[in-house]
Amino acid sequence: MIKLEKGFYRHQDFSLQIDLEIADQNFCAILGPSGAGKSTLLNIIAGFESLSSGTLNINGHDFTAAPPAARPISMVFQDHNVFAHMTVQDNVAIGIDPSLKLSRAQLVAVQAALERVGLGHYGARLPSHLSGGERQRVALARVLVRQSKILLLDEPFAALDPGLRLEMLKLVQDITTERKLTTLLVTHQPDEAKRVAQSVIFVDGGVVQKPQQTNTFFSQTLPEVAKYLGQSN
Amino acid sequence: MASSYSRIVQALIACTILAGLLPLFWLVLHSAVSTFALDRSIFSVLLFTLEQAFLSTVFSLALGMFTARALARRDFLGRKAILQSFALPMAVPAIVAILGLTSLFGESGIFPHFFELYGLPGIVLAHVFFNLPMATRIFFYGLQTAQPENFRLAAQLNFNEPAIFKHVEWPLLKTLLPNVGALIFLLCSASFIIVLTLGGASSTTLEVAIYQSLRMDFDLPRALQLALLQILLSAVLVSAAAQMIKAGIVTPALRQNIRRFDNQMFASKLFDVCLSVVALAIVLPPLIAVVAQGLFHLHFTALTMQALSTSFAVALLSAVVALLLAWPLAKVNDAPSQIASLAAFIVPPAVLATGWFLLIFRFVDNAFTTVAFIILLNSLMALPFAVSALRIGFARITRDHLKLAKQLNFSPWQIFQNVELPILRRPLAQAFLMASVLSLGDLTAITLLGSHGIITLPSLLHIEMGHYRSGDAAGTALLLLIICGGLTFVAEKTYDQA
Amino acid sequence: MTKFIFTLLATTLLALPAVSKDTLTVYTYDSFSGDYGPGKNIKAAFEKTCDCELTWVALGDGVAMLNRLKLEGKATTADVVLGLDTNLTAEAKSLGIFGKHGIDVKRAIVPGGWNDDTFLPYDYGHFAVVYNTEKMPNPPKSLDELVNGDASQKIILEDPRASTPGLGFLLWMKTVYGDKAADAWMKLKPRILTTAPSWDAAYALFTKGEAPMVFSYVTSPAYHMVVDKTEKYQAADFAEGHYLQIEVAGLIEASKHHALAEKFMDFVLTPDFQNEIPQNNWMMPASQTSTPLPDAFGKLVKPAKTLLYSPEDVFAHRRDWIDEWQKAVNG
Repeated sequence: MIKLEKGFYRHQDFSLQIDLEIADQNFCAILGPSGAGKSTLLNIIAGFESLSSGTLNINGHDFTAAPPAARPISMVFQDHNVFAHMTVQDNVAIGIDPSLKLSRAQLVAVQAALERVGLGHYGARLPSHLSGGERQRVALARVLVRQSKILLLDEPFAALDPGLRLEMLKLVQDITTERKLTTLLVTHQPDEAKRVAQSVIFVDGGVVQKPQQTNTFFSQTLPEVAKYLGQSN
Repeated sequence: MASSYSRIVQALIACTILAGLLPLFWLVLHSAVSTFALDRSIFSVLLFTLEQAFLSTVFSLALGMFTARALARRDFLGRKAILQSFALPMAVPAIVAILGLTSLFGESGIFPHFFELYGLPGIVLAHVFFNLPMATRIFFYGLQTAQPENFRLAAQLNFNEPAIFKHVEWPLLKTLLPNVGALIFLLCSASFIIVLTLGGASSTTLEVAIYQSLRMDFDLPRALQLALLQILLSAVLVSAAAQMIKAGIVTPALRQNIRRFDNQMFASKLFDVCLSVVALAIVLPPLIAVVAQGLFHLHFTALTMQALSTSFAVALLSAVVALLLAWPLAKVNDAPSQIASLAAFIVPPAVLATGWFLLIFRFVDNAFTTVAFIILLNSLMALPFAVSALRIGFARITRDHLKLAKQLNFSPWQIFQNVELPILRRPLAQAFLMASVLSLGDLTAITLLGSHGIITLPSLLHIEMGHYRSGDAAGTALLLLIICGGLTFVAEKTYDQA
Repeated sequence: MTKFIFTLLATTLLALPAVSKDTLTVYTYDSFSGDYGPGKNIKAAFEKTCDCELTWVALGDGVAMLNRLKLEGKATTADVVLGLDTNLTAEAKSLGIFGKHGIDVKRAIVPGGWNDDTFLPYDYGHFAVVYNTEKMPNPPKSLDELVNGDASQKIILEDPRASTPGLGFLLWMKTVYGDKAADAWMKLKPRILTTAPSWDAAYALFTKGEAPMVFSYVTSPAYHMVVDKTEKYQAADFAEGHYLQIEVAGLIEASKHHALAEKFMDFVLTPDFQNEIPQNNWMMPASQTSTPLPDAFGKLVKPAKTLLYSPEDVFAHRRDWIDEWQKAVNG
């Protein structure tokens, strides 16, 4: 369980209030207008930004001040998830050991992860020879080998065309189920949320709202949500 | 368009070089020369040239790289001041730097006999004083072009220091290293006053040999031979560097003030602190000595003001010319451009000056042509610095930017105005700063062609030293430093607004 | 900004003398023509005696001047060349561009007398080892004592390939040791702190305190006595005698202002010119001055013997001697 209590974040003119709980093995979409703080929320959970006040608790342990590496989290960014000078295989293996000294069993795990994301034969390639979608698959393969229980996705498929996006979304959904992950997905596409998310967190006006059931969220009539969804009352 | 601009600049530079060399060839062919063979002593000269330049380059690069990393990953009070002070050594005349170093390691210094100042170690130390700060600044701004995601990923994947270096920092540094390395190597092999003053009579480099053959012996064939040898050596070095650059191309980030999540362990902090202290211990003492010794000798006579305004005008004009030349070279960034940017270090300025004299100054020689010559030579010497600063900027302009510009049917001027200028403002300020600071401290041009009553701050300094006025000279050195400090401050302000 | 730069540049250029009257162009070295040198006053004094303009063309030093003349040959724009020394005059004569000065050589007062009808001396100075009395209570009394003395007491020399005093010391060693000069250089080597490329670099290191001795001129202490009011720095009196530097002026035969050039040659040995030498060039005047020498000059070492090679000897052997020196100090 991810629990943010009385969380407050401030950076220059921007501030964000966060008070929420996310249940284990939940697939949660984060929606909200541009610049509202969706990515900031992920960065706070991942440890790339720090709360000005309040606490972050994961599975009963306090992680408010923990460095990113100490958190049971994997994050996939919109871009630049791979190191350009490393092969696909190394880019995955680096999730297990940054010095790339892998045991035979670990190498097997890397290959299995690559196969799981459909890149079984791509191990020796350099990222510059991959498409955008393939590069994100490399990032997902790394998530698989890291075996963290929480997966944060920051608009990872925004640059992909619709068919591919749905395919990738399905892959993420399957992985979440298979690995019993808690997944938070920042997206600009409400239909993505409808398709895969069990719950929705709405971020707007400097406040992160508590998660709601996806159905409940889309059927509500809050003016700011309606405005965001483009529904006129 | 851009490509034809770059070809024009390459051709212009080629012409200035040929204008320096061809008259010498012509004169040599038309003079009764019997011997045209290099004697044996040239091998030891060559060996010493390479030895001192190699050591100076290795130390400057290694120390510069890790100092830049220490500064990039630790944001602390005074970081900016350190970076700004690192822009100053380039303006310090060689003799002033040497006198500064003696304050620390000389017979009269704080740590006499701690270090062999008069000899190879001293030569290397003085070269590191000039080149370490330059390398540090270039590497620092190079590291700032990293993708923020790389550092986040590194933090999440629990990269240790070696892993961060290997996977994030090194790929960036690697692309800068060949250029900066070649530049420092050429600067050190062309070094003259430092090599002679600290090395003494037994330290003969190729540059000294060229100077001797041109000056004492007036042996043009030998000077030409030696110059050709130097050109050959430089050409090999530069093309090797150009080959290495092809290996890695990065697309730097657009964001600034990258947040990093580096190891805050004591040992790692200690390493950074120690390294920065070593770098500062090399760079600061000569600067502090200039300030301490000049403080009570600052003087503003009519002559000083004349030197000041001349220096200022020459430096700014040189910087403008350097930027005009550097822009297309950095933009195209192909092998001919890289070679063109290093022209003034490939062909010894003393040879260029002699050739130019035969071609032009023999016929038109007045204050105006002298100023033009100074500006031309200064801008050529500042060119590699300007190009290396701009190159980092051009790498930021992505294909998408240019596609967009094409789609919007931008004219080259509009591309410059709307795409290049906003992205390049910071590297431009950096390039302008480097070029003008270098020109402010330079004395080569005036020494080579005579002054025609033109007095710059460095030449005033030498005049004062030549008249026993070491106190006045100290004041002039400080004034030079203050001007450069002011320029640096203004340039950094421009970055912050960018 | 651009406008500002151009204004600055224009001001700088306009500050230079405009050409209107008959102009006498005199090649000289930087430190002679500059504001701190005697050039400024000499120009003013000479212009009073003629309806003309004197333009200094400042080149690095005597050697730079000679090289300029070699490149220009007969096409030189110089009317008079001022600042070569006797180590360069034979080579300068061989260019065939200098004319006879037509001045009575007896007017020139230099050690050993003067009888050159092409070049005219305007000042001279004996070279000397200058030492810091606070660090060296017992300075060497001869060149031999310097060569064989305590190696921990260092001296700063100048490079004979790049500097006039440097060549002066090389010639001094040669006059005293002859064929054994290479051996003497090897013995001296451990005493040499460094060999600077120029006199000013060497002297700056010396006054900074890097070594107790420097190679300079007998007149150097006069500066410190007159300006700094200190007798801390003194010249060592060497028993073998002191090598001499004589600086000369010569006129260009093909000059378009030949009469004016002759007038200037005459002016060189008049008190109006000579008065400027002691305290602005820190050398000994080569003729009568109308103002007495500063008292400090009376306290200077008066070399018992003057050492000097003929210009022809230097011209013939310089390159070999420099090679010999280079081998000795490299060995």
